Amino acid sequence: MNTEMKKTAVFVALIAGLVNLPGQAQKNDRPEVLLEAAKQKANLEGDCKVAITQYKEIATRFASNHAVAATALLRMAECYQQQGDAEWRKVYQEVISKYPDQKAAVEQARARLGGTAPRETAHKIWSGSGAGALVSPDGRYIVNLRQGGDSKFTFVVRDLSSDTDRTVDLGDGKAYDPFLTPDSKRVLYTWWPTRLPDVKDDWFSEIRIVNLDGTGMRTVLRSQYNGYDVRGVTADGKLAAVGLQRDGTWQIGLLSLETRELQILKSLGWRTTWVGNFSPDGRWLVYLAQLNKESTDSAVYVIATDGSAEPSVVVPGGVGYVTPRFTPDGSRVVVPRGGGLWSVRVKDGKRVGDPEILMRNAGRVKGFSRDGTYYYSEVEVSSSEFVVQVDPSTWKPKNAPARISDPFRKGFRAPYWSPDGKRLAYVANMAGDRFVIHDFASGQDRELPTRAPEGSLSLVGWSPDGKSLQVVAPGTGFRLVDTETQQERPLSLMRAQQTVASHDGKAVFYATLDSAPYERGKEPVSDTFRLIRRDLDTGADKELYRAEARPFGVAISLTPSPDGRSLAFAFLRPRENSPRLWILPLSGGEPRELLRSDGLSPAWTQDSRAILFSRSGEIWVQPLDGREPYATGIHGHAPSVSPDGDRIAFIGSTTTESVWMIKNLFPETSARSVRLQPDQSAKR
Amino acid sequence: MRIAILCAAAVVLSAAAHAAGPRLPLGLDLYRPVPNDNRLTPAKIALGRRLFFDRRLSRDGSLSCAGCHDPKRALTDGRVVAQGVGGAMGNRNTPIIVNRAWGDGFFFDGRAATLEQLALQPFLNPAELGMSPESLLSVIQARYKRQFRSTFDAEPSLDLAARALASYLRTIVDGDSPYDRYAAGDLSALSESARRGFALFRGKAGCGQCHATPNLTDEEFHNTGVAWRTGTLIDEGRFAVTHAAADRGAFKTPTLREISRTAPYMHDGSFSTLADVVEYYDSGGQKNPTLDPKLRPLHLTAEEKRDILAFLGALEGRIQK
Repeated sequence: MNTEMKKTAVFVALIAGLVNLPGQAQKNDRPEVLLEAAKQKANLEGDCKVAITQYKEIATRFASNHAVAATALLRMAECYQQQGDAEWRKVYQEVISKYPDQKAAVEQARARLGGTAPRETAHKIWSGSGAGALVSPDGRYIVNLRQGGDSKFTFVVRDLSSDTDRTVDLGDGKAYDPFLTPDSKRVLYTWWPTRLPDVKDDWFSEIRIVNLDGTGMRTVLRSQYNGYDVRGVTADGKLAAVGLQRDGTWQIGLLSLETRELQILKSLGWRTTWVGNFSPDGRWLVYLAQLNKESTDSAVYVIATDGSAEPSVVVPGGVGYVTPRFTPDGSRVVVPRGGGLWSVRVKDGKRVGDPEILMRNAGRVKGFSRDGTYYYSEVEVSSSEFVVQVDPSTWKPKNAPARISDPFRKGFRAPYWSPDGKRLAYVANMAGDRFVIHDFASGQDRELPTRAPEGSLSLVGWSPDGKSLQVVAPGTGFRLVDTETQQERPLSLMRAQQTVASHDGKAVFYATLDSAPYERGKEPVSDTFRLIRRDLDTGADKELYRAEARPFGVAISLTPSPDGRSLAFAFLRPRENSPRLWILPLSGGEPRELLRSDGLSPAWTQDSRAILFSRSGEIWVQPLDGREPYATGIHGHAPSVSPDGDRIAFIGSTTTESVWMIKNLFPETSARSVRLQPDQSAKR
Repeated sequence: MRIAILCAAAVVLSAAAHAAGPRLPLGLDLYRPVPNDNRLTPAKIALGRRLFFDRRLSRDGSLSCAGCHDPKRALTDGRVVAQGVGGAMGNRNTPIIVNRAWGDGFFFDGRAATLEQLALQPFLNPAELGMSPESLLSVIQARYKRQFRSTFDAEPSLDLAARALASYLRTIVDGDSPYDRYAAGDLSALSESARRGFALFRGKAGCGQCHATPNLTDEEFHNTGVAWRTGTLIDEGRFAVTHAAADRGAFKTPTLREISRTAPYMHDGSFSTLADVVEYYDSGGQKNPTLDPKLRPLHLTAEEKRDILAFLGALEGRIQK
């Protein structure tokens, strides 16, 4: 074993040892936990000063652990860069000189010293939840569109000069695609009726405008387009460039914000089109369009806004471009592609020279301020287990959901409440699958290791006495895992697609699909889908339901109702994308289809009168009395209702966006620009 | 900052002025495609207009382009098929010729790729104006020498005549219909019935699959089965140009602008009313080996058919010529 391997082995052993140590104190001492905490401090809280101290401590304390120390130093250098502190150079040099065995870290440090990644002038100016922050052209405001728990849309306006937030209520309806006017005082946005429209209905969508202080809200276009996209307003604020989409066809429109007159500048038929912004003199408009309706390639065009000149290709066709825009001085068009930012010089609506790459890692382009400062963002998405208090009569949240899971874990699966409602169990991944039991009284987590192969473990509930977890794993069937002793007790072995225990713990329900060999291109034949109840005392099976499987398919979940009268089962039919949820009366009779949704991890309410399920990333309620389903305003999936009925546990995602700025983008980059090869981005 | 605002204001004013000259009717693209080698000039447009209306450019001096493309009939002739000099019968219905600047692939079979290619064909077609190239050039030389010199700084030629005619055709525009006003946000522009008809047009009836925004044509060719009679193909349509089997019996999607004024309908004028056309599409079209898969029985109710007709009536706008 060479030195590098030994060090790696020691590091892995150290990590593995730490992971297996029970207790919160030891867990918080793990180097990866400390690194993550410092990262959260810098990226989520924006406190680089404290993060630098934390990284410094980690680098010192784990100096012998080269991987950890080098990572800490790299991140410390990034923090210095964000602060504009020249110390960053010394720290990168330290990585190179002290840890030459950490080749990736050294390469990264060299690259940054060479100036090919975040520049000296890159500063983080804001971070927060979401992924669609707008930066005002004067650099003063960050505007975020938010949907609250009551489904109401608001703009949250952060004034960076005073670090204060202001909320602008947008009223009933759904708001999308906000765009700030060049004077940094108004926001244009698309507005839809609350109910999603259907083409057969007489519905309308709008473009609205509102001042950042919430005054002056008005409609500037109301029509039956399926979509609008505003990405440009002239410097005088009078004319907006609008991408219009109707029934799959695309148009570029010029919308007067004064008279509300819409003039179509160019129709592009079925060529998907993204409209960019105006040149600063208002004479030209840049847009991206498919080469033709069958093509995967798109090109960037500049068109005269008075319709007097033929659209000119400024960036030839390629894959992966997104919305282009003029730079504030109008001398260039920039267009993101493959994570990088490309630029081409333009004059009189024509390109001058070849496209060049400005940045290889450009983040999400936010645009430019009037002085040429470039804004971009980085987005991080993580999922967690959440719990929220609800009003059981409406299932609307009473407060903001609370994250209960450790942010360093990944791969969360459905949560289950203990019978007394004091604990929550779920499966998560951190160096392998683990059972995690969260205790609400202490706020602590306990981990139970498992021997099951990663990804194969199914937690399906708690034993009625609350002492064990009910678990299903391939080959081992249904078993109990004692939460204290971790002893496992096999109860029954069956070959099933899905298994779940009855609420009294005396039986299991399971679904089987006896499938005939599938021949490509032919209809599957003679599959048999069965729902079975097995008595755990006697081992006797009772078939509850049988169907030829053609209308069924893969069983996704089984969920018995708390009153013991019904079994909800979800399955995915062949060649269908949306699972179906059926309800089977356990006293006998035929099942009925209740609903279809894109994400079904259903949960019964404690009174067995409704089912909670997820649809488009939101938790919905389907009453069983025939009423229409409705949204709760809780964003997440895999809900579970607490035994007292006033809390919902679920898996939710948090998205964090950090907005950065770079000054003097063009002078720095022009010297090392490279030519854009037609297939270069496609290969990435 | 002040300069930028002034510049932007000047541009907006300039754009307004551009629109105010030959201001296009509502609903049409501000950008009007014009070939680089035949830019629009007032002189060319005026010359083309004179050629368009000049009966002396037909074999017996009885007909001009406007003889079939009659401005009083929305630039069509009301006949089943076109009637040329000496009563000669064509084999296709006279198409409306509005908004052709934005089109491509002209005639029902698309045999002319540009308006310049199209412009002289009716003069030289024996079933239309019936001229020979020599006689046509001779008349033009005799009657238009001065205009060609002032317009093109050149002697008259068929090529230049085609350019002038194409320029004029590019200025025949039609828009500002109730539909256009509705699409631009005037929600009172359509009646309730027409609004329902528009929803059907876009949805259940599927008309918008081919009659797409903004000119209500996709400028493509479709076999709707009209050219088939009891299993026999009467007119090869696009196939005559491409010789592609899939194009047998396919014809250019016509614009629906002014449709209520341009009966009879289809490439052969075989339907005398719009109600007949709606009934035909409701039935799913005449079955044939290359029927466009977009056609299928629609199962429209009587009320839905009335609503579609109400919407089609709202496509009557303002023709500038």
